[in-house]
Amino acid sequence: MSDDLVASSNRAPDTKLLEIRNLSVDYYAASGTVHALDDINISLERGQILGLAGESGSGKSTMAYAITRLLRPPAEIISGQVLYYPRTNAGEDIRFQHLSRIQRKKKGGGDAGLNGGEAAPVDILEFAPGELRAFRWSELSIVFQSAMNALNPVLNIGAQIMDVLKTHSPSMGPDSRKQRAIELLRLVGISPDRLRSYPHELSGGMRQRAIIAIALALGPELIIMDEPTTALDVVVQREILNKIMGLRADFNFSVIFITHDLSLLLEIADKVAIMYAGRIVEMATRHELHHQPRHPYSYGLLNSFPTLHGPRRRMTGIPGSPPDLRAVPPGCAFHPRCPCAFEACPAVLPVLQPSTSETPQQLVACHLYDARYNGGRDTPTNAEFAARYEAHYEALHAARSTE
Amino acid sequence: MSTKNEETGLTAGSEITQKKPTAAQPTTVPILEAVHLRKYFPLRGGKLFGTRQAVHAVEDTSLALYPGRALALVGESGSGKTTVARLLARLYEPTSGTILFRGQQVKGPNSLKVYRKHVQLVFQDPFSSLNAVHNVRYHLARPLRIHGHVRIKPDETRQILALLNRVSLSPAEQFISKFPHQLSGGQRQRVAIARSLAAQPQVLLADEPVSMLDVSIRLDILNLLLRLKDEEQLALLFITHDIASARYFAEETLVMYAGQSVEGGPSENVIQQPKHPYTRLLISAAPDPDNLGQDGEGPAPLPARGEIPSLINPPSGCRFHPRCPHAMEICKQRFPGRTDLGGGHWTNCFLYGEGEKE
Repeated sequence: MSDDLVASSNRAPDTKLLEIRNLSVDYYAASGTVHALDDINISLERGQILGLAGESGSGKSTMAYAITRLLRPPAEIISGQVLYYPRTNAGEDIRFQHLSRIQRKKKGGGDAGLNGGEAAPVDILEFAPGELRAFRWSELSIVFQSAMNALNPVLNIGAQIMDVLKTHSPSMGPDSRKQRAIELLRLVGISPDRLRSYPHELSGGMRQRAIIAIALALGPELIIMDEPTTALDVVVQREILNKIMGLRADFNFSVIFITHDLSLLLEIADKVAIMYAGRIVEMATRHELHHQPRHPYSYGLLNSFPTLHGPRRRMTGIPGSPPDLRAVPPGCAFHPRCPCAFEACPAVLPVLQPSTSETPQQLVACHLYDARYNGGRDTPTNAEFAARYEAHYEALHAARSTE
Repeated sequence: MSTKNEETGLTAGSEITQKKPTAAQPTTVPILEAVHLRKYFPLRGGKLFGTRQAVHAVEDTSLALYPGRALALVGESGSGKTTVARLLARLYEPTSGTILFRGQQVKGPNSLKVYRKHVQLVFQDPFSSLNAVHNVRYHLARPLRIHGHVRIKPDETRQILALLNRVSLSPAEQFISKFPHQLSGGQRQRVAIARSLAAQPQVLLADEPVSMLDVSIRLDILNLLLRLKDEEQLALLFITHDIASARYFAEETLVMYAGQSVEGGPSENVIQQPKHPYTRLLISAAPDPDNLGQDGEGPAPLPARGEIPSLINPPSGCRFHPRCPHAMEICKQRFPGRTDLGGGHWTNCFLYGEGEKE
């Protein structure tokens, strides 16, 4: 184990790391503007794992790209802020010098943020190209879904790890870069003699590990993982997840974990945000979500996965298909598929708010929990959701067979 | 209680499927049976006078499909699941072993068209299994004509509309002239299923039919296949890497590892009381929120490590032995025979006995 990695692991827990405020992203297409992200608000603590779940087209990946400023036209960030809270003792560490520089510039030459206490946040969306370059990899790194495409096929993995080190830590000599690369490979469970292996010589799981090694190279505060295990087999997926969890325990970085597999998130994430058609419809801890999902969509998504235990019962899934983002249904975008929809749903756009007084941390964007619309009815339980979905399914099925 | 209704709904359904074949035929005769199938793919190149190397994709696999029942084939990629499906669809000729259709051996190219009329394959990827330059009508009319189910045009349209309704694509009149790029993934897979049904098969081989689809529509497609199985007494082979959906979908499960079938039997037995170390590994690796640890507790460590071996020079004996936590000396020497565990549940593992001699 390296000393500097261990040294960077004793970070203060439970302080804010990232805050997304009113983020909206549009894609311009010939057939109309697509609102890929619509007014997203999320905050992330240090060392926390935030899970983003949703179907394809729900805006999960767009969010990852927006945070990392990787969006290219026709995508455009319409509004919002992505505030990053740098570490306070940044001055001691060479990796954070650039950030204190950024802060000084933003603060008009003062040395705010270096005196201890909460550092002043910086808006990632306002970084100049040079700042962005310094920020990426050393503060924030990203692991993409397809390990096959994320690695350069004509360079061996050692060269690709050392490339990151060479670019971002120019003071490191060739020998120490190699030492560090070997150490990183060992961390992710690849034997160091693979340093000279090319991506095609590695299995899918090994490639994904190599990517994680690159993401870890500069000891970032935040790693965004965009479907890191989707292309992998279950056993390999489990190994990678265990590895990520182990590394997080050692180095205390935060993770934004994007996946469509909600059952996976319930195992690893501290907080889960469920997205539908570019909006967050529910945000809760994994336990809250597991015991009592509040949004009908969350319930449907949770019950889209057959279970290994319990009674074998018929599962209905969610009827219909995800909306066309060029023509998102008015009001709550989920209402055409929702078994609990009522008059207010197509008319008024629900906002994210505490679901019930007992669970103030569990936020939901649904009129079922809004006293102004729900007509004073009780908050639905799992059994009620199940019955509604079942009735909805039967009704659809009956309508189809009479046609 | 709603769950109870659902439960009884399902058990009622499965009772029907178990009774019907016995009512129709006194003995449950498999409609499609594979006996000791083997498939090696020879490799190009290699040493000039050396022995020709081959990928040992499937070793000695036997299975049987019954009308109105589903068999799930579970394993990681590289376990030979797809090869088995393609052997059964007769896209590949087996290296050895026989395929029996209604008890008769199928062999030779002449019987192929007749065979394909009865046995159809649904592919994994609906984005590449449909021809982008043809519309839905073309995709469905081809099998109808080739297999002689239609002679005149009005009849063809009527049958195509009926097929689209069967796979719940409504209004069918709208879908008939659409092209694949105008359809969503789920709709494409429905068209692909309708195309397989057009031949009026008795056996449907579904090769990971939902793994390319969005989570929320996977169950829709699975339920569609379940309905076809129950209502039309189709025999289904369901290939999946997700052992939980095998439990949901299939009466029987067969677990494969690196080309060898390691465990099989009624799905509930295999998944609730897994015997073979590989089956246990698969189940412990599957995401399972019900097994949530307490806060701060990471996921449980896996009972085995390593990756699926190369099938060009596979490990001797039981191919799982390099990863198996219980491996013994004998595991390296030979592959165990099948040990019957009762209730139709069997496994090939020395931990449970030598197995019967071949």
